[in-house]
Amino acid sequence: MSRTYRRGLSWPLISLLLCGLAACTTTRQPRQDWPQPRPDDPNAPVYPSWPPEPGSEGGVELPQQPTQPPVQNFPRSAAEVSGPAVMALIQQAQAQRDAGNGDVAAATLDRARRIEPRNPFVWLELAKTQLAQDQAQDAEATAQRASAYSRGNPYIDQDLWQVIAAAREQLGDAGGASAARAKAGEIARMLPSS
Amino acid sequence: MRKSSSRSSLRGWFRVRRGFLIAFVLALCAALAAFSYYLVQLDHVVRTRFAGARWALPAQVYAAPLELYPGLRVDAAMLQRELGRLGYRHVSDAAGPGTFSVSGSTIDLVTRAFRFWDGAQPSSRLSVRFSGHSISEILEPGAPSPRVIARLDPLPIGSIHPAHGEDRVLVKIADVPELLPKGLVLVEDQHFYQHHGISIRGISRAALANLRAGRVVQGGSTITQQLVRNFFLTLDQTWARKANEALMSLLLEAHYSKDQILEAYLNEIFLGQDGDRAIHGFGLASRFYFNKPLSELQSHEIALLIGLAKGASYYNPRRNPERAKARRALVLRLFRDAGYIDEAEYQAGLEKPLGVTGVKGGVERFPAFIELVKRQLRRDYQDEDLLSEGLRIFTTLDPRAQESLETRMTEGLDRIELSRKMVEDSLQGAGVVVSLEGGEVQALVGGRDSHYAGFNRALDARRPIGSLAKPFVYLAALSEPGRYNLLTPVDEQPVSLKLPNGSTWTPQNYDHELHGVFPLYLGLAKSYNLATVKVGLDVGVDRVAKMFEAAGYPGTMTPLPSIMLGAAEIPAIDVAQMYATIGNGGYQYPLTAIRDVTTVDGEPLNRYPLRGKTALPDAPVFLLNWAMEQVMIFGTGASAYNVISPATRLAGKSGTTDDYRDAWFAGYGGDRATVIWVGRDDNKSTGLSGSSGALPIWSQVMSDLRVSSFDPLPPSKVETVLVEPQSGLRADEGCMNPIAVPFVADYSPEDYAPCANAYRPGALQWFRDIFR
Repeated sequence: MSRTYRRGLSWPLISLLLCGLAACTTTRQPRQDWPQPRPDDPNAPVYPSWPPEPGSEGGVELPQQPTQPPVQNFPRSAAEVSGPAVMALIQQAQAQRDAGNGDVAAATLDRARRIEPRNPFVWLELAKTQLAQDQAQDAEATAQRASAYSRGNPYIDQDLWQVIAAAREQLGDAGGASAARAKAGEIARMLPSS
Repeated sequence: MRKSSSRSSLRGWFRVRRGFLIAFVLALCAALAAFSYYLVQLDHVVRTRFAGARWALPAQVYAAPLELYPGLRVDAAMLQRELGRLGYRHVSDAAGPGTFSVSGSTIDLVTRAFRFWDGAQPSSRLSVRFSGHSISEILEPGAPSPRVIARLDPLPIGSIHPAHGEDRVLVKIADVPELLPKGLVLVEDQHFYQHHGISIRGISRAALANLRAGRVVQGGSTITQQLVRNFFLTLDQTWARKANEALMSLLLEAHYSKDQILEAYLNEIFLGQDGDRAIHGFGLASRFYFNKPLSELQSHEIALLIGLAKGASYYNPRRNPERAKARRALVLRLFRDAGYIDEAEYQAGLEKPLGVTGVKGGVERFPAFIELVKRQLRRDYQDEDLLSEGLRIFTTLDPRAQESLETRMTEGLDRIELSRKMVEDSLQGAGVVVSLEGGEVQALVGGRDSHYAGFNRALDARRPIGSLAKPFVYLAALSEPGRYNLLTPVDEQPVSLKLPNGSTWTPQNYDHELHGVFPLYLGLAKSYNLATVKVGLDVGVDRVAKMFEAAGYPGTMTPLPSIMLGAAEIPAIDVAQMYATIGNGGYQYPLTAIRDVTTVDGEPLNRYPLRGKTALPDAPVFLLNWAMEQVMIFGTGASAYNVISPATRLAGKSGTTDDYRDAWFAGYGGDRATVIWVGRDDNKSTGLSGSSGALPIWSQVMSDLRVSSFDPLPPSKVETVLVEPQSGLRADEGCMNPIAVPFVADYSPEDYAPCANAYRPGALQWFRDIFR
């Protein structure tokens, strides 16, 4: 009934134990016993059951471990994952940015973000727009946020690191910029050449 | 001699007369010069006042616009409600901006043109189709393809006007319905286009009428004179004032066209009073009485407003509806007699109800939220700019969220008072709804009477937060993964602490029981005080205090042990900031109420872009959120699922303070965080816990808003492991009731529980078992 943690596991100690120092106690936390629920104890802890019974209050999904799907399964463009409204706004923002209206483009992307807050392509476009407006600090922060939502999508991450590299360059951080560029290159090598 | 004497006397007489004449002429010249000088001065006054900044224009405040797009979870009834709120007219066949019609599961509407921060948007005719509870398609007749997105005009929610000041919305004469200036001239000054500022005919007719009646029944003032009186003069009836008024009217007419004068009149005239705010001009009056723009008014509505020009308080349609109706009938009759409307329209107009909106108008509906907007604006703008430049402020207010929060707060408090036989209106409340991604304040209620612009409890009431503090204790613990994870056993013990001031602190559990040994997360889910204090003292109160600050508590949190049980007094708005940071996985957006600001002409002035930062480490926050979900599944928040579908994941925490003085609930789903406080202004006990006082209101609001399922992003440094709850060891299909628990990576249990198929009592396990 004891628990171990990978980090806490003390191999030298175990060797000592194996050497016959039987009665020694461990140097780790004191042994932890779990309470045995007694049916008559009203204060006994109640554990949520898993999986939840159908119709019970615990209809909670198991938080998925971050998995790494094969590279080719990641969406490569906004069109693959965005709804038509968001897609239209992204295109509108790109046109506005190209026309030099960075502020308006950012406002348009904010509209898109409110509709699909977790669409990493919207965040990527916003980071690019901020970069085009010489808002390097904002661009890097937005890119960081975008990477949280890209969930390991290398197509997006590669662009994000490029944005971060350019932003750091604007800020005069040459070392940081080349590190970011190296990261982008590393991701690019993972991608199938197509 | 006689001759000569008579001649000399005659000469003398002439000499004297000449002297008089010269003196007279000189005096006349002097008088003329003085008068001219006066006239030049007066002329200067008239021209400066008229041509310069004529009015101090209060800033106008707008709610967030509703974006319509296929897939949006809005059904026909909801859209109809939204259009009603915007003052769109329900007609049989939508035609003209601000109208809509309904047929089956389709709503046809004509949007209003509006100038947004990012540009002007023309009016368009749309056909919105629904399937189930969502929009399926938006068609635009005549356009080659369906619309993928359409933005409605934003709801005007108020203005930033000086206390006891004038409020107005400027209109141009070219933009107002033709009937308004025409009708105004007809009713107020028939010879407006003929006279030069004063009308002798008008004055004599009025004098005659007054003489006949034996009292003043008619004024002889022209529109120009009325404007001058409003512009420059006080209301005292002296001859000097009358003369001045006449002179200024003539000067005004000499310099400006009839249309310019009429336009000034349309914007200047006093048309109503709303508390300490004076309603000036037809632009604002249209919103104030009918909740729609002037351009959409019909003849009977225009007649009502024109009637008000004669005496806005005497004919006040809200207070004196009979008088107002009679006055409207008179104006309508004049319209008909002049041929401006036909007999049918006249008869129909007489039958129409006054149509004045129940609430005080399209303005000042959300004073608590406006107060938040003002405070944010004052960081960037001078007061005089806000009061006079007519800025247009685009805010984050979501009218749907605001309406739900207001209604649920009022209903909730009424219901509690009734069911618990409490004194009526003894309870008070405050609430805030914010978006998780972006930190936009979508709704804010500062008291149970949300239309009363008094003490704003959401912003200014500092009340102890009780158990809402506990997540920050557990966050401090989980931030040390080598010592604590969600299943770390906690052994509850009585606590007695000597404080620096000499007193002893002996906190108790709410049920005055000790609960033995249980896993860490249960202390939060069940809101056990002593377990929390034990954990907090173990990790250090100063670390707990730092968590408060990092999450968004403004200022410095004094590291006293009592903060772990919520002795800190924090307004609801700051609690919302702190909880939104946790709900957002530790990424923090400073709460904002404003998106952008334009000038009076719609030129972009200022934007408030997103500026977030990582405020709390993501892995411990992810673990904490798991525990806060357990609060909702089987802890103090479980009754939320009486109202909200169990399929919706939620996370939150209840808070109750000593003697049940404050009841709190704070929590979130996937898109928004909501904080509710219930208590009494005199700080007496309410007998309510967070679960019984605040949670029902919280749940109703979240249900109204169709809260999306909480779906935190799993950080890379977290792994979720199936464990057997009794032992806290790994489980697999061999175990009966395993639970999935997140751990900070590298700190998860390695060994399998005895129930697991993978359980191997190998050498190591065997040794461990020996030493048990």
